[in-house]
Amino acid sequence: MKIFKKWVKQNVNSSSKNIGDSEVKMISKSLSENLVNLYALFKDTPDLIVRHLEIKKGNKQAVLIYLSSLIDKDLIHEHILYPLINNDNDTEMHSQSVTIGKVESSSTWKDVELNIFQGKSILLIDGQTEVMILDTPGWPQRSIEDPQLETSLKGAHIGFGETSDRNIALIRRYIPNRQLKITEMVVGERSKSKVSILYLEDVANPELLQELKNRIEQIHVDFILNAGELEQFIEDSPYSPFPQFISTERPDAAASHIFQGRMIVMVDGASAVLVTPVTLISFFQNVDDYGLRLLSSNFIRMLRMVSFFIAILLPSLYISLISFNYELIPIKILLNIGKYRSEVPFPPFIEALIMEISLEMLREAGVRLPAPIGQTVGIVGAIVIGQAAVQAGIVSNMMIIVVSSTAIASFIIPNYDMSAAIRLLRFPMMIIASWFGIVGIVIGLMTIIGHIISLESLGTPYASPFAPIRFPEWKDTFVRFPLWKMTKRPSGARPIQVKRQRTNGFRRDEK
Amino acid sequence: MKWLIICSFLLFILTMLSSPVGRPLNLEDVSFALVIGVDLDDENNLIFYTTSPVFKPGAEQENKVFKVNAKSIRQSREEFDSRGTGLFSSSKAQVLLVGKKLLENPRWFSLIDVLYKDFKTTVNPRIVAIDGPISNIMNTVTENQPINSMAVKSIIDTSYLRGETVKVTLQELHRQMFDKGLTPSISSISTSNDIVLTGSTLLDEKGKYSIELNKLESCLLLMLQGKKLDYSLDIPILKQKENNSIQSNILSMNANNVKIKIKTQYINGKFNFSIDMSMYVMLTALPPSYESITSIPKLEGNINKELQLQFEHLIKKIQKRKIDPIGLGLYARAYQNNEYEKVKSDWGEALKKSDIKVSVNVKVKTMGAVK
Amino acid sequence: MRNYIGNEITLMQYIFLIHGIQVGAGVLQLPRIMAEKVGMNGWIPLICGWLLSSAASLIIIQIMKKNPQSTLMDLMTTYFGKFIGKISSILLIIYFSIVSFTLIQKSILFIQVWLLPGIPSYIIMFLFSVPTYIIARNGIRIISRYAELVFFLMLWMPLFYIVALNQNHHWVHLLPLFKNIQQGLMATGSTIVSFLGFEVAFLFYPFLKEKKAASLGIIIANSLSLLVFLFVTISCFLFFSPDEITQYYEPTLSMLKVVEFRFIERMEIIFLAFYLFILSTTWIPYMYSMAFCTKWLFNKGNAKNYLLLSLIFFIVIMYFVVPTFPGNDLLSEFYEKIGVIFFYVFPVFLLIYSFIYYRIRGRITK
Repeated sequence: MKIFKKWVKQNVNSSSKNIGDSEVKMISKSLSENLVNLYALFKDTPDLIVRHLEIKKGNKQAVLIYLSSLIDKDLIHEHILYPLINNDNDTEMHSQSVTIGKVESSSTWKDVELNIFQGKSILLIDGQTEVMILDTPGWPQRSIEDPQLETSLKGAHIGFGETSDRNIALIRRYIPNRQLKITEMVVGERSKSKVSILYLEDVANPELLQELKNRIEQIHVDFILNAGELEQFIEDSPYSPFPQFISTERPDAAASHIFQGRMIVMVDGASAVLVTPVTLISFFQNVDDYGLRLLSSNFIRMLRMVSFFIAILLPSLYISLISFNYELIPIKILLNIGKYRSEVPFPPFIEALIMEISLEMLREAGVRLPAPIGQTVGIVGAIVIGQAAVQAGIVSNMMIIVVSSTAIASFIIPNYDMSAAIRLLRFPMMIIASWFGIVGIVIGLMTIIGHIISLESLGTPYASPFAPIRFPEWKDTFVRFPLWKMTKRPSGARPIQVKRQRTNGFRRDEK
Repeated sequence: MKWLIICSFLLFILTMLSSPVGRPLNLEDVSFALVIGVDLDDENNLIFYTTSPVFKPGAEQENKVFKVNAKSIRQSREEFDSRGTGLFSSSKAQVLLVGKKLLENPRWFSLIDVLYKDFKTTVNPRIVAIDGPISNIMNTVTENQPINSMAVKSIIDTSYLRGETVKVTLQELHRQMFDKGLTPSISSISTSNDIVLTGSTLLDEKGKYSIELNKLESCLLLMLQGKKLDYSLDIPILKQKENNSIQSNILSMNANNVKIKIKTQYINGKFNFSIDMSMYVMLTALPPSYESITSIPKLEGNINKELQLQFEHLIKKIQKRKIDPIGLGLYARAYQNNEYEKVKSDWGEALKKSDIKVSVNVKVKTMGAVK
Repeated sequence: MRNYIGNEITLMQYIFLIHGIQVGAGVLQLPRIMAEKVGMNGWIPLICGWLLSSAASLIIIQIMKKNPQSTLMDLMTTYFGKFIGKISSILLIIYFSIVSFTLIQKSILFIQVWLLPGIPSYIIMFLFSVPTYIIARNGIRIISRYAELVFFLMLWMPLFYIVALNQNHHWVHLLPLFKNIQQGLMATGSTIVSFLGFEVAFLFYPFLKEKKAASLGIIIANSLSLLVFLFVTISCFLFFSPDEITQYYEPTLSMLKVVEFRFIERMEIIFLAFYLFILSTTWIPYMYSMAFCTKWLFNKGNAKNYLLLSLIFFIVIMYFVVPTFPGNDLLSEFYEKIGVIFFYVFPVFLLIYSFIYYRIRGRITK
């Protein structure tokens, strides 16, 4: 029985192998043999165009192969076919006639396959074992748009696209510097996604770079669809609610992170890039903070800090104050609350849970609805349902205020992953507050703090500059100091070149 | 290792569900005793009063008053529980009313010991001595809405701001009772005809009722204690009495920024306290027959003299009864410790023998808006 | 010699680690104990205790300086042989386990009586275990980071005292200043146990990055604790009369009962709940020390597993033996005595021995 099973397995395995995987590897001199191999490799691919042509010079037979959905037709027609068919100049090298910028050559089928799927055209010439790989990408792309999740008032209104070439171009516009280096890797057996790491060579820490490269190299999967999936494979603690990479769609934000010594991971096909290593505070910083005036941006920054605490703590504070520690409330408010509570049949915890879950459902549904319906439902949901719930006696007025303040506070956080984490953390805090009151809240805070300070992002402490306390770096945490005072890069990314500017501007005399 | 954690966790959750976790007392099941009253009735039995709001759905709020006979506050709470709808809790009490008759029994302080021992109670209720039946206050209070069931507290607090009465919380009373160099003083309200604040009541070192002070004397007492308030004084400045119904010998003023210096010495076998007081006054009302003020120093001299007389009158009063609401014993303990230790057990006696001199220095800041 | 590099703590973390251990549950009852023994001059034994504890800490640092990469147990092994080394680790394990148990139990008792009356102790013990495990399992680096963070987070606490004092303070309570000097000096015996906490320098000195500043650091830690103790004691003396302060079991907490704001009352509840942070910086290092010594003894396994086992063990004990204040006081007395002998008296002998040892070694190698 076992032997039978083994034999079956072997056969199945062998028949599932692709012909192109093992057998024929090298391009042969004979064009017809190559064509036979080609058709064997690319069965059932109607958009594969095989254009036979005769090169005028030398009257050689050649075949141009490309996938019509992935190439730029104008380039093919005018810069490849036309010169090859018509040109009769004196050069021997065919690469001179073809007026394409990037031309490579190769002699393996593997490369041919890889390059065809990347939008390149292959020129097979009879009698030569090397093919010419011509760079003619032209797949459908969208125009540059404002990124949806991260709008900014004063910053640029461009966002990354899905092509890494264009994204690199956008970043190069912000960093026209020789030190901006790009390391390319390939991830995914079938998806063969191009992953690029961008960094400033004289600022980013080489140890961290090596660590990042190691982690990416050790990924063996079928495909990576977007940066979010890549993130989960290379994070330090995937089970933690807190994100350890910033995912951004804005080139200006990405450029500013590079300047702080961080590294950008770009995945071809994803419109978001990952930034690493990050600290907790960087999730609360936004490009706008630096573009607005000093006092207004500090006000908004402090508002964000306060809303972080409100989003986590407010429902649990409410629950613990009402069910456990009502002695804390002054007598006037207490009598009012008592009146509300006597109208509602549920204990405060259930009440809070009902409202919070309804709000989460509304929010998630709002994401899926198309725009015109979405707006109406938003208003309907908030006002009518809330009011109706109060009138029906399911929840009290106070609860509606608490829940809506919490929701608003959680949306102030600029980074989506972080605000999702905060929304998630509310629920265990509510549970523990309903069991143990204020002591529960304190223990919950202790646990969250303990978790954050032991978290690491690519080996650097996550809660810097609070956990290993570094006072000079508090210039950009709760409040933002004036730009001309931030002379050093933050040490969270362990940059090797720390000083980034002198106290400068015409304020040089004012310290 | 992982299994050990998971198993113990589950076992733990099971045991936890069977315990009182997660079932706290609901807010609407608690009755807050906002006012606590203790008195002796005609047969010398203890009666306890309390008023508490009742949470009812709907806009109507109600305050219920309870009156029971019991032997201690603890027992009274049980009685209240059996009469009221909720579980009584004195953690939000605003005032503690003690009947004057009860104050004459030196053991009354042991009744409220429970309010100090229990961790959950508050030590901020104001203590008030009530002259007259307590039921008058309790019933008046219930006619009004919850905001006014704190009426007594408001009376005390606002009068204290003008220096018309002392404000003594449970915490402060504890300190005054236990400190050997100080005797307690509490506010007093009379309820015989109308609810009226009459001033302060002084107790002796055992807590027994000693004497009453009217509003002016309370004001002076507060000044001697060194409390920084905005005092409003009405002192008689001229000696003659007229037949006119409109009394014309009262000088009214607002005094603030009162500074007091007390020097303690021990001479000839008795303590010697010299109290120097300085303050800034603003005149608010002059007697109609007072001639136009010729010189400010003369006016100040007159006021000084008059105030000094008033202080000496007050001090004689308390010395006679061997009580020390000012707290001179604290100064004796600090500056003349050896002598104090000898007479510590009977400080009242030592105070009676001691010499207390008060000198007042008044500076007129302004004479008011009109002459 | 085992390798302790890679798990390093900075000077500031070292200071706050020791300071966090010293300031804990003792502060709550300290003013009453001082008033009982010495009256209003209770600040005198505090200063004397500080002097003695600074001296003891310096002695410990001097001992550790000679072998910068060894913990106490390694040191004992070097000086006296493997057997004594193992005995010393067993003694340390016993000491640390008693201390951490007593301290956790005391915190549980306080929380139970002031904040959560109905809840059984073992549940509260479980509640405390969760953050303890999360923080302590990653080693001394994270524990010191936590201690550092807690110090700065809790800087607002003295403000409450100032508000309470605003209501009612009498400077005359403190006079006469030097009445009971002799009694004060005698009472130093109670204060030196408040400063116990520096003994973790015996274990964690190898982890300090800047070893040169170790002496300065430990003096700063002791002085910070002295400031806290003085502040609390003097505030209570100013607030309560000398005749009544001995009536209160925890004057530090009772004093805060008078603090009231318009929007919130009963501030002592909030204060005590957040005081839990400070209490936690006391027992977490002790529990980790216990796990650390256990790992040293058996030389295998992970410290965090031993930690977990001991936490579960504590929970089980508390299920069967319900904690009480008198019982806890007995345990405290016991561990205080041991602590004084181990860490005030013993280091002196060890230092003398180490001088002799190196002198003899030097002579032999010559």
